[in-house]
Parts: sequence; structure tokens; C-alpha cells
Amino acid sequence: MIPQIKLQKMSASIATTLKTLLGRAVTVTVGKPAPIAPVCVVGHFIRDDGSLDSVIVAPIALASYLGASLALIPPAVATAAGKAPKLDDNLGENYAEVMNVLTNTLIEHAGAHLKFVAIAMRAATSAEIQALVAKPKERADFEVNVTGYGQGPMTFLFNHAV
Amino acid sequence: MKILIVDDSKAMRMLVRRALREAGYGDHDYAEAQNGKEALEILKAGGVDLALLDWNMPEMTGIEVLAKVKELGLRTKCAMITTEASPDMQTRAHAEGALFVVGKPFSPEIIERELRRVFG
Repeated sequence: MIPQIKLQKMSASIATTLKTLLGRAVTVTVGKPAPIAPVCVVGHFIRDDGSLDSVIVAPIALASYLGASLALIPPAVATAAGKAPKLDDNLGENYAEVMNVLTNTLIEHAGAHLKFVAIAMRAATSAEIQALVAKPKERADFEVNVTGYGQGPMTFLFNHAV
Repeated sequence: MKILIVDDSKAMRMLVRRALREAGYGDHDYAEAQNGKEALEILKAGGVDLALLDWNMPEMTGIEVLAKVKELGLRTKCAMITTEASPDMQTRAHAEGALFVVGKPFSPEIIERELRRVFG
């Protein structure tokens, strides 16, 4: 289990990264662990040797808020897209860049160089990613609020001790 | 001055352009490329003064573009805007000819500071 002080440090790091990237106020607080929803967006990160290091999981709604705010797409568009059964392609492309930029936050805690690979709906991910989502070695749960758009949970799942 | 923005993310290309505008470089000419291969073709055609390159891109990475620019003796100034901004990666980029490396996420102030340093 990740110590509370480390989780708070991670939440501050995520907030700073997202604020700078999106150019708007973003609050990130430590959240409570909850079962990962069957329908969610999974971004995965690998080490230089190609092994799976970690994933970031978020509901479609939060991925839509983050993807929309990156490109100043109106909140109403993001809210509507957040209700769809899969992430909108355009918002998904933007959300992938949000994941890419969060790589450095993960690197701080991986002790290794990492690379963001891709996002996908949970059901469309590989067996290896599905296994990590189902049974991570460590997890860190956060609540992310993108001012003007909305909020939702974001969970970091690690393939190693943190 | 003509500035080439190279990133596989359309949103990031837009953010870089917005940052350049806020940094006082809004009046310049812009071109965009979504991968290194496309960027190299534009650079070979000439007329680009500054190329701002992402590192991780499909087809050809930013660091590969830097190496090609050096190999071909192209005179375009190059810099990187990337998540790969660790000291090791910065050293690698500088060795390949990058004038500066700005880490993502970036603020317009950082872009402005680096451009003023290079162009005065």
C-alpha cells in the first residue's frame, strides 16, 4: 500500500502537470480505491525493455473533460461525449497527449525511464494490460477536477512496488 | 521567420502555436508536420528558420530528424519540445544539435525565454 504522504506528493505533481498543460485550474486530491469499471479508458506505459510498467485508468467522462480542455473544446461537447459508450476519437487523441505528458509523473515513482504507448477502452486492451488492471501490485487513486469541465476518478495501477 | 512545429498530436501543435503567439512570435510564418519524416521533407525543401520537434513520433523521431539535419548540413535551427526532458535526454538532444529542450508541459514564458536566448 502506498503511504499517504507519497500519494499526496503524487497528487500535487499531477495537479501541477495538468494545470501547466491545460492552462486552467485543476485540483487533484487523493481518492478512495474503488473497483475499476468495466467500461473505462486505459493508458499504458512501458519501460525501455518493452515491459509493461503501469497504466492510468479513467472513466470516459473524465477523459473527455481532459481531452476537451486541452484544445479548448466547449464543456458541453465534453459532457455529451462523456455519456457515450466509447471515447470520442478527437477527444481521445487529445487525452492521449495528456497521458503522454503525465509520463514524467510516473517516471518519478518508477525509478526507470518510461514511455507512454497508447490509450484504449479497457475491453480492447491486451491480455497483459487486462491482467494488470485486474490485479495491480500497487494502486494510487485520485479525484481530478478540471475547472469549467467536471471531475472524476483517475487511478494509477503499477506492475511494481512504489 | 518561418517556424515548423512538429508533433504527432494536433492539440499539442496548437498549444505550441498558441504559446508562440503569447510569447510574441504570432506574426511569423508557420508550418506543421505530424511526424519526423514529413518534417524532414519540409526542411529539405528549405525556407524554415526554426524547427520545434517532439521526440517520440511515428515514422521518424525528433532525435532522428536532428541527426539527419546535421548529416545533410541543413541550416535550420532546431529545438525540442518533449516529455523526454531528463538531463540524459537533454544531453543527447544537444549533442545532435538541438539549441534547447523544453519539457512538456510548458508555459509560454519558458518558450519565450528560450527563443529570446537564441534569437535575441
